[in-house]
Amino acid sequence: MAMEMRLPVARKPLSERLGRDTKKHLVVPGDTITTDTGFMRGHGTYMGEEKLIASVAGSVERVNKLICVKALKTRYIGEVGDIVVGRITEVQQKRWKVETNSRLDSVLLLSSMNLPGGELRRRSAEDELAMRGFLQEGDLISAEVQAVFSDGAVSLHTRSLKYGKLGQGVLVQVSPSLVKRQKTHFHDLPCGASVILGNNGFIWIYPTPEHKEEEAGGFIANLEVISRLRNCIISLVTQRMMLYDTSILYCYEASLPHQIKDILKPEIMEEIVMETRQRLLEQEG
Amino acid sequence: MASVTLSEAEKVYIVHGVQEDLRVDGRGCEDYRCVEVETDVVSNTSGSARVKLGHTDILVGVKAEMGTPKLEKPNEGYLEFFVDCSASATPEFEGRGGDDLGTEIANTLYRIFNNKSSVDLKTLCISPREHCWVLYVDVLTGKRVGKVLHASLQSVVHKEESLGPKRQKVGFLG
Repeated sequence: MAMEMRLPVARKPLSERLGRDTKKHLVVPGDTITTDTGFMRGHGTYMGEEKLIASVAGSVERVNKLICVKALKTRYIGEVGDIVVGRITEVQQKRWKVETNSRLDSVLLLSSMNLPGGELRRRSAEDELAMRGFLQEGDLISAEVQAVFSDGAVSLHTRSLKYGKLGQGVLVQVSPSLVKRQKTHFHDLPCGASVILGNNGFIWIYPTPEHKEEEAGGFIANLEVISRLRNCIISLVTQRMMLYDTSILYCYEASLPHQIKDILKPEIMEEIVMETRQRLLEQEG
Repeated sequence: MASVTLSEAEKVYIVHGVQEDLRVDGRGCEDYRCVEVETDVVSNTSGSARVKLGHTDILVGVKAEMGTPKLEKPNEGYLEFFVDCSASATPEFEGRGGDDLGTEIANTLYRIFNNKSSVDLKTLCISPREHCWVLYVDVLTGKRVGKVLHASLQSVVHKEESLGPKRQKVGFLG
């Protein structure tokens, strides 16, 4: 049983490694952003002593006259239309409580759930008693945000065939600020796996459904693809890169020369993400 | 240790992978994660080590003090273990919550180090029946407590090696 031991090394700051000229304006709670009163306050700021002060730790973003601070590490804040991946924590009367990495547990009402068979009917008492048969504690679901209550709790619905209970696969939990907002969050990657990028930071990796027919041969290859994708996502997150289908795919391709378990080593992680970053810059430019 | 809730389908997936010697993160069943070791972190101890294994973070300090040998073993010194599972590891360890796990780990450490091949206790003897060295080993767990036993074992061995020349070289425990 060989073990690898390493000594801790001081981390090099990111901008030094990239040689970036423009530095982000980073603030911590209590920092003054500006003394100019002509700006409108956005999220993460407050007015005190005629100065605009930051209330969260993050980077300052400015859009015309609006200044806001985008927090680096935050819980998920629900918005209508977001796709989320959540885990059932409780089964209550007529609803399920879902954990989505937000400040309060989200709610999935029985009436917002698709019944098997796709029937549209009023939910009866038998449906209530059979709730545990649909979703138990610990189950994972993909859902869309229907509404946000006044206290910030999120109400979900699975009223479409693409949402619902999730089967075999791997869940990766990342910070919600790293998931890029896109038109679609369900991606079928060409390597044989599919990925659901939940806006709440829960990322679900699973084998693409067509592959299930050729179970015997393709199964082990699938497991490896999924493990590799998982490690790639974790390395992107450690280097604070935005997650979207292209960045994950490029990172996967950059990691192919290495063994799956080596991807988590710090030096190899840096190398792979550097390559991904360059490819993405080339693609943009 | 830390508890995780999983759906049935996830469990089936993990079991399938393990049957093929492939864990979720690509490691084989017998592969270890990277371990980060730092010695001499606590200044007022004779030797100390900090071990990070995955999410587990352990700090071990060893203090050597003079004492009297135990009656049944007059030619040997001995080791005293104390494991503190602090609330900073997980909220479950708040107050007295971490005590049970702490005593369990301490008892296991006693049993492990209670043989001649790990630490030769005869070297800790100064004069038989009168004086001997007593090594007080304190283990502090921070962050999540997954492989505490493992990590603390490695820490203990490392700090033994980081002690001065009066200590004997210790064989490595896996």
